[in-house]
Amino acid sequence: MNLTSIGFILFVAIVLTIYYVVGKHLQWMVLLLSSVGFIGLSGPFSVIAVSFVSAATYGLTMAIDRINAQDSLSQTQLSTVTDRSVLSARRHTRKNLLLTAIVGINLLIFIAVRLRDPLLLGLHLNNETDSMLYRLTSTLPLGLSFYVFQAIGYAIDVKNKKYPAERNFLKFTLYLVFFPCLTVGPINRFEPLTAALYQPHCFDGLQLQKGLLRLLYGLFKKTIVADRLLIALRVMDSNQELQTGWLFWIYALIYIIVLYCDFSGGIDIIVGVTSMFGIKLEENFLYPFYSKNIAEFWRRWHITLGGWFRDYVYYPLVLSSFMLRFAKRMKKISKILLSSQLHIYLSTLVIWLLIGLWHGISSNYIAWGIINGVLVIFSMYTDSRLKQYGWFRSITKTKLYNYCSIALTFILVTITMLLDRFGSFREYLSALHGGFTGQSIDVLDALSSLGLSLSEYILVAFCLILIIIIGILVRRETLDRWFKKCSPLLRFLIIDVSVMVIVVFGVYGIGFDAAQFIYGQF
Amino acid sequence: MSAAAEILSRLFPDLDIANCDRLIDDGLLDSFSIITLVTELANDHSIKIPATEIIPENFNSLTAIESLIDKLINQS
Amino acid sequence: MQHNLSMANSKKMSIVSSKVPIGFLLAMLYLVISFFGIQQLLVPKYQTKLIEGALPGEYYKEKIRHDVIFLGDCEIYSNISPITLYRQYGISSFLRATSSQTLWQSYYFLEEIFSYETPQIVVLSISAMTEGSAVSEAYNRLNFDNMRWSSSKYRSIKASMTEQETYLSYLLPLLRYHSRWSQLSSEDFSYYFSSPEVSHSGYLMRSDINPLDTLPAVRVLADYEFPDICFEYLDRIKQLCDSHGARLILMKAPSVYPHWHEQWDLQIREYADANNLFYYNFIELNDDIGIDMSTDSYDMGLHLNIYGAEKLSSYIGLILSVQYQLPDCRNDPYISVIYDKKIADYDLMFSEQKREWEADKSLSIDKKD
Repeated sequence: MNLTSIGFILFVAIVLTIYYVVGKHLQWMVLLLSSVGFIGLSGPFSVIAVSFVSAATYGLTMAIDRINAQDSLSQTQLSTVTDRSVLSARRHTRKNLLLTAIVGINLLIFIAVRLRDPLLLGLHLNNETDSMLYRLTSTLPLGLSFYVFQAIGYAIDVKNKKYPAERNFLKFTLYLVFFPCLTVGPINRFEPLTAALYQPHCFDGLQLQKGLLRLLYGLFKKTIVADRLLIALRVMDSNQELQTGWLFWIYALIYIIVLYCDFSGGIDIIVGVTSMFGIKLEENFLYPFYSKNIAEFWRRWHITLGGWFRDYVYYPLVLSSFMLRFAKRMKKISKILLSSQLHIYLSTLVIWLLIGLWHGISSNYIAWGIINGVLVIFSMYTDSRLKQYGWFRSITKTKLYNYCSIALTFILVTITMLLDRFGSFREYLSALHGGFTGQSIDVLDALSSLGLSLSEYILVAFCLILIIIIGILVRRETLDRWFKKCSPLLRFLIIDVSVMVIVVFGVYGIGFDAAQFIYGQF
Repeated sequence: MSAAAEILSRLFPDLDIANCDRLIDDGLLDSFSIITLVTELANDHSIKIPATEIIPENFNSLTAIESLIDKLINQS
Repeated sequence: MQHNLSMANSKKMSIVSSKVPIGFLLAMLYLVISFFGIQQLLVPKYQTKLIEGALPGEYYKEKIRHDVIFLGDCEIYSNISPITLYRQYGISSFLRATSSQTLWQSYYFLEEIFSYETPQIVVLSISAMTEGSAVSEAYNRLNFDNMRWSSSKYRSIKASMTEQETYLSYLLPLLRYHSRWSQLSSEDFSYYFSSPEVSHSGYLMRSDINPLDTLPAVRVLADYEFPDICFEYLDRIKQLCDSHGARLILMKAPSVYPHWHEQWDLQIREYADANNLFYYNFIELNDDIGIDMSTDSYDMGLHLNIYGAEKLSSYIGLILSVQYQLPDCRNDPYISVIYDKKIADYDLMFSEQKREWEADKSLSIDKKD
């Protein structure tokens, strides 16, 4: 179900009503049933995939949990130290095996789904009429990219005794399938999410209004800015002439704006929806374009993804005994700064390669991962190198340096994100080459042929300025405080106006250029 | 000066390490600096901080880091 | 002290708790008002551009009865002048025709008309027998936007809706026309509240002359069979007329193209014979009617202009008055007053259009020289 469809809004409205009408101890069940229904609408493959992941993860983490219990019991029971350490080592190995099984199963499913087409092709099962498997798996399971990683994170946490395993299978499943997070994420952590997810919630009018406004803000970004500029992008995609010279850079700029408004808009809708249920999700975007370097950018963009890889892969990898020994040996070999941090750079590159693969298993995503990794390493290295000098440290405190860093980061991000748009790394490179060397047609002419009228460009510009202003106000919490002080009537009116703005200026419905279409007919 | 204090003052020569309690919140200590610190502690001072302990609460101030180290030493 | 505080608190609570539902209701009211207010602004008015879209709404403005109803597409609303029918024969008629009106749309319009009045004669132009499905979403909009909501409209939309369309966009046209915000013109503001008449009892007047140039080549078709759905609705129109005691007459207007194939004509003749209906193919009667395509068309033979329409109406009126006992409305005191106004408007528009066209013509001649 599309996040911006009337169907989704109706679905949320119905679930919300039931949620606040039933007894408070039943609220999590309402969420579970509606989430299962939501996944069910996506087809049988979605339901099968999530049931399998949920059952496997639940069963195996319960086993780990039992071993953990034995661990704490043995601390008090056994007498000799050697006995304790032998048994504890055995338990440790068993836990590791179980964890490997969980991670393995989850990753296998994830990769198999991502590689569905080449897999079925290889097995000669890609014939629609003959292969039931092909037909069954024709729609990819909803939310797989998110709940697989939520499951793995949970299992690792349980193994590390961060918290005990969830005994209730249904409650555990809810953690994986909570419906708002199935379409665009975010990737949640077990403790923070379930602290709110399983609890009863009272009807809070103000919170509902704030949630609704956040949802409308997301719709505003998506349907008015992102979907509108997407029209221009599609026109440029279909015409090679519109991607050379200056126009290539305009294409890149439009794309980054579309990507931000679409992705963060979707997240706004989700965060808005969940807060209407009284559940607070972790933010996935925190003013990413204020970043002064690529490393910071990835702490502000798609935060939960970077955070997950950092906590569950990066830290364990870079602090593994193998890496630490490597670092020690490197330091002994040479005294230059690079060598004592080589293990950090290598781990970073590995992480970024994996993050690239999470997005997609193809050359452009692998290249994207590696490029981002290299950029992050480069910024880490130059920072640590130059920080030794006092003059550099004082420059970094100046406003000019900050503005330049922000601008440079923005340009780098724009160029690298563009990889998303091309099928392969080679295509990307040739397009980039066209951007530098190509002769472009008249820019103003081109802009007027992208399917958007002048008034629409003005509308988009106005909206972008509005988004920036709202960002500043939200950051300072001015908006929040002011909204709380407003009378209920004024708050409702603001919501009304927002709804009408989206209805009038949103991009939806038949032949978006309705009037042109109709008038053009005659 | 403790091992952690010495490493931190080397990483951040301009900072008053002892009195700062927003190392993580203000973005001073990012993952790169944390790992550098933890690596040095492990390789040069035999203080092993496991990956599971790398959470904001443990690294927001020098005091927090030192209490973490003390806790780990006591556990083993 | 504490007692007073708790009293104050509970008073505050009750004020707050009553503010919220009132605020909510007021806000809902505001939402409804702003939605429909903005909708009325953004919906196309069809007053200066695409005036065909205004046609469905013209029927409801009529204050008199009609003894003859014409149904069809542009071959009706361009080619027949009800004013001429009244002036020469005292026949009160109305053209319920819109752009590319399909057979089923004609059926539902007729059904709607029968809920308002009972005409004695229904003349159906059968040119739409070739169309088995709605032409396009744009034409659906022209034909339904100004039709009043009724069960007939509901079923007509259902029968006409194309793949991409949603019923909701008909119930709430703002969902369809919201993108017109960037194309608002003075028309949208000046006709926000009112929509004056654009037609004369359903006739769209054109006084300019654009003579027939060359006859288009006749294409040979693979299949001449009319779609089943068209016959189905033709039957239903006949049954509807029978059940209301109205006579159905079939006609084909004298347009030069699209070419009216002999195989098509045969099917209509057969149907008419089988069902005891009169069928007039006015193409064949061109000479009798006196139509001259060098002066009587405004678009090179596709449609007749006012000169051609009056000739055709004169001929049709003669047939109707001779064959049927239609009352002479010129003798009706109430109806004649209404028609006097209609005639005045008609003649005024004619002289204005003629003047404009002749001015344009001399301008273009000057340019040529």
